[in-house]
Amino acid sequence: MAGVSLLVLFLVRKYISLRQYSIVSSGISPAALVKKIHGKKMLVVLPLCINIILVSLLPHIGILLASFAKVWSMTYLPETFTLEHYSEVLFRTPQFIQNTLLYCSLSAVFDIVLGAIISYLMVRKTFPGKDILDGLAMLPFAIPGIVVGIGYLRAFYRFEIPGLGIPLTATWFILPISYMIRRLPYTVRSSYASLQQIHISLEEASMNLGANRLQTFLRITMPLMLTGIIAGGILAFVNAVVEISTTLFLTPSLEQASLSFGIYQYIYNPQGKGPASALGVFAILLVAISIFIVQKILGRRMGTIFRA
Amino acid sequence: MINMVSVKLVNVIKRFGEVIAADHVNLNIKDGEFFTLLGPSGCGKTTTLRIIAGFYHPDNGSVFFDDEDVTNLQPEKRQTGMVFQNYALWPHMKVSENVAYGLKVRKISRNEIKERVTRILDLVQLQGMENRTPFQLSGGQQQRVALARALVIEPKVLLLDEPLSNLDAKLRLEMRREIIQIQKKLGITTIYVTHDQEEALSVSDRIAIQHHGSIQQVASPKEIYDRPKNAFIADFIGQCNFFPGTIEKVNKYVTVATDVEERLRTLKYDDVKIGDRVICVVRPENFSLNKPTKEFNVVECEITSVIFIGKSNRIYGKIGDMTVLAEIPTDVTVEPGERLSLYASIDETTVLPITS
Ligand SMILES: Nc1ncnc2c1ncn2[C@@H]1O[C@H](COP(=O)(O)OP(=O)(O)O)[C@@H](O)[C@H]1O
Ligand SMILES: [Mg+2]
Repeated sequence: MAGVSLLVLFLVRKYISLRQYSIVSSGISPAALVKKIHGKKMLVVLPLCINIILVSLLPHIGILLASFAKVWSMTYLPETFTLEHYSEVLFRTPQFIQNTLLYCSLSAVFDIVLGAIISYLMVRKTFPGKDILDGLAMLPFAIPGIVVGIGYLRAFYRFEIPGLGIPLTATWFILPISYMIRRLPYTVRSSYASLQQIHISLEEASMNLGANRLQTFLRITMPLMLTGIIAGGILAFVNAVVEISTTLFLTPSLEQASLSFGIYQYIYNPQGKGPASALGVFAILLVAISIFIVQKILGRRMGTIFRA
Repeated sequence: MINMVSVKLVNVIKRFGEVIAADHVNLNIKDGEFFTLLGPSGCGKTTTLRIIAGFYHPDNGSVFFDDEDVTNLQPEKRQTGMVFQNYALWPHMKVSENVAYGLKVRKISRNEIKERVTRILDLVQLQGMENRTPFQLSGGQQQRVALARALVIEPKVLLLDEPLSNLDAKLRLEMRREIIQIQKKLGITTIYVTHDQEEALSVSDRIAIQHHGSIQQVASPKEIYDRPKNAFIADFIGQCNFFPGTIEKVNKYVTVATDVEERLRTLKYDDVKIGDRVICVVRPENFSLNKPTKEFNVVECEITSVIFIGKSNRIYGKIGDMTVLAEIPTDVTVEPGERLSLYASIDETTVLPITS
């Protein structure tokens, strides 16, 4: 499985070289390429769009209703509403949301730092093994979470943290670490795109005026790539929030579990549908807010991050 | 105020794969001099400048500031002030922050930074622009910010890479004058890169002509113009008529039998040998319709066309299968088809060796 996706990844990389993820200007603003739809065509297009959106929103609506429902079985809508599921997940098992925020923020912050450094090396430097680093940084895109989960479990269950004497897999550290690795491509990709927009002479001017490489990176390069890299960081964050496969394998205990693990736990409990939905609503909100922020930051450049 | 230095390049070579961008470059730039690197696009000017700034390490040879060998010194330690062709202003900083950057990096006190930034912005006439961002400035103003940013650190050498090439023609003249004024006022050693021969002739104390990476001639603008060392320079600096021929006689003057069967005489020079193949050069504006008072050459041509170019008429004529170009005053009326005698004094007729 992993072998197949690796093979495909390398083939793709071979034919679509790095240059492909630079932003090429056609000289025409994207807005000019957008066609307005008028009249009769609207009668076809509009209902189609509404239907597609409705269908894809149905699960969300269902989850929202379920999170407030006291009893809901044979009817279209719940019979009685309640807030007890929310109080359950907020006060009885608050660790799910807290842990998620902690793990995902940690992994996103590390992704941001790593992404900035790796993309800087990719764009500005030549060194032996550059291709390998590039491949490694993109690799997590190709490996399914389940493979990573099992892999980490097997690799680290005997790796003891120096000083603590407990295996890495018995602590929560393994979760942010796995999220960090899994989502690294987002920040690498987004920093890469913004770095390519920064003309090298901006950095050279800084060095010419007496700043060394580190000062130049911190004062010139970093601030200029900041919006892109933060957007990438937020995307890494959201995707870590909804990460399920590695979470299931690597969560050491219920106390240290995150939101997605919590949902999984509740859903297999006969009384757990409500709290699971409440957690689901939190997950949806986190994702929605984050994507909204990214869209505000990046605008039309959003697509460049997702281009493979 | 400015600590100026002399700059010396000794046998500098820089290759990019197959291309030799700097080929055995030897330069001696005096302190306080306005020195220009001139040559067609791709001849290696930027490469040479970047070697001086420290952005490229030469494959061979050394760079000296005064007596100090800076060949292995990092760019940030060289104390040069560079104005980039695209200005390279930082878009996330205001004008004042752009200019103050080099001083901040040097850990200079806040008060002094403020004072020096104000003073330098005055010098480049950007008072009141401190709080603008680079996007809110015109091309000429951006140019001034770039200049101020480079000058404020009181660099040992000012390096300018085609600083005027992005400006429109009128602004270019204005900025050109201003750069000379500032340079003279500060007395700073300046190395100026351009492909525009007219610009080079008008701003420089001395000019180095570069071609295919190697320096062809280093001399004052007047000497470059009057005494180009080879056909490439003669052709590159203004237009020229080239008369290939063979040396026929050497007495007081050198007489050349040209291939179009005109005889041209020039001043004597070293190593002249009868039978040598040479090229005689006459600039179009050195031809006249009247006999000069000095000793002169004359060529006969048939006019093929006359073009009015404002200050004069440009005349294209034919001598055998060669086209000759002359610039003559507009008050003389000449018609295509007429035969014309063109006079050029002997000391304005140059002889050049045939290279390769
Ligand atoms: N970084 C580089 N990599 C490869 N070739 C280069 C590089 N910089 C310059 N060259 C080549 O070296 C030659 C001289 O370039 P350059 O110094 O930029 O010329 P100029 O500034 O006179 O136009 C050109 O042929 C150019 O293509
Ligand atoms: Mg250049």
